[in-house]
Amino acid sequence: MLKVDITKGFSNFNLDISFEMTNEKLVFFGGSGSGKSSTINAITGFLKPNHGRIVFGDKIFFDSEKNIFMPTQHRKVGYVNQDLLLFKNMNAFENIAYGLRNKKQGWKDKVDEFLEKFGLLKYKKLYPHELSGGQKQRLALARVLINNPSLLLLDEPFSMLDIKLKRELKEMVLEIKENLNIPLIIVTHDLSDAFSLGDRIAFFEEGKVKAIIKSQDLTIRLSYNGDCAHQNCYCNEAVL
Amino acid sequence: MNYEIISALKISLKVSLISTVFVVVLGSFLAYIFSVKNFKGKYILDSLLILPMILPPTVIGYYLILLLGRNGLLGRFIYEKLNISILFTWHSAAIASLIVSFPLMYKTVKSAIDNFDRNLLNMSNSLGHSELETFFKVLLPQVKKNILAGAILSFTRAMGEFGATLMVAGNIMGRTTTMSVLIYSSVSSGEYEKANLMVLFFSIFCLSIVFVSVKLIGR
Repeated sequence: MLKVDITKGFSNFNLDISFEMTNEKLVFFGGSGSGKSSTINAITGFLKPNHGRIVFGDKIFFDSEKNIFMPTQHRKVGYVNQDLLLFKNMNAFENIAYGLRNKKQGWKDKVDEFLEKFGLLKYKKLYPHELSGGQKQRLALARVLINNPSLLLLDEPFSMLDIKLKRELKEMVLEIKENLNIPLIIVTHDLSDAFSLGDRIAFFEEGKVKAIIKSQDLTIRLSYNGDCAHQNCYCNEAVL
Repeated sequence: MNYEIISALKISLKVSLISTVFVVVLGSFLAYIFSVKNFKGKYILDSLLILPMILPPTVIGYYLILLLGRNGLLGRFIYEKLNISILFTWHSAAIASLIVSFPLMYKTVKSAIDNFDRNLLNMSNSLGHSELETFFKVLLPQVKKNILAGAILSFTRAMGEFGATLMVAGNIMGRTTTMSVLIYSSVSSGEYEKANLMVLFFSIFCLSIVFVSVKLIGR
């Protein structure tokens, strides 16, 4: 169970977020600057909130009252964003190996196993700039997953992909979620991605979670208002 | 080449190499701290660190005399504890070189770290790596060319250092006289042949270093 209840003041807006989630697929949906990525950054530990608590299972990530701020490296949170953030001084093998926290005996075989699983074994010696867009995406996912994260955060993972790659990657993400059985948060501003990936959708607006609605309920509701074709229209209907 | 030139060359190389080693370590460390961390007084301290770049070397020399002299803050402490006087030794020449060449290293590395994608550091942390591991495995490989460039600039600056060195180390042949100081004293005493030889050597030496560094960094 992940519980987030935080505030953070920025120069142009205030983040005031409160939600809970279980081992589900939760989608953060909203426009640019609505607070989705800032919330993700607070969960990973890249951003320190001003007040509140972030608790994941028995781990306290952040508690302003108890003055607790767990450093990112101890949170065991898998994070992938649209820039992928591959290390360009490392080849595919080294990038995945870098994601492995404890290098026990046989770690090289484990890295090879992941390269194989993600269809990258024959590209193991190539550097990120020598890989295609899809290969880079798979590499970024493999690097994060090799160490069994307890929570997976994907920040706009499909925004730079063409339709075919997007479909492939969506299937891969759903398969990963199925196998790992960990909470998964996906940030998107594409409503079709939100529907196809999320068990529930959290609607972000002006730094707040306006509503969290089950994708299923939203689909039923939209079927009654089916004449509205614009994505924003769906969103407004759902929130209202 | 006569004894004086060889001696001055040896002292210049010793002083420059030692000051460069300290400048590389200190400059890289402080560049990282000032680029990545936020703390009170950061901008004032940052200005102080680059001040030697614009201050006249004689002013730096005067400050160093105040600091390292037997009645100076640091000089008195060292003299009382170790019975050593720093001024007018090659050590003070190395300290003067360190101070004047430090900003070149600091600015070169800091601008590289400032332009480095901070998200890559965050990503490394999220993969379970500490700040130290992230520095050595992610940041350092990406800025090593800038560190090399900073080191070369600092070394050549130290080799050419004159004003502050003359004030704190003087001109003691065989002990503190560096190449730059020897050129000055040769010209002062009308020994133009000796000065010409050293100027030629200096020019070729510096040109070679710049050429090698451009080749290395440009790769």
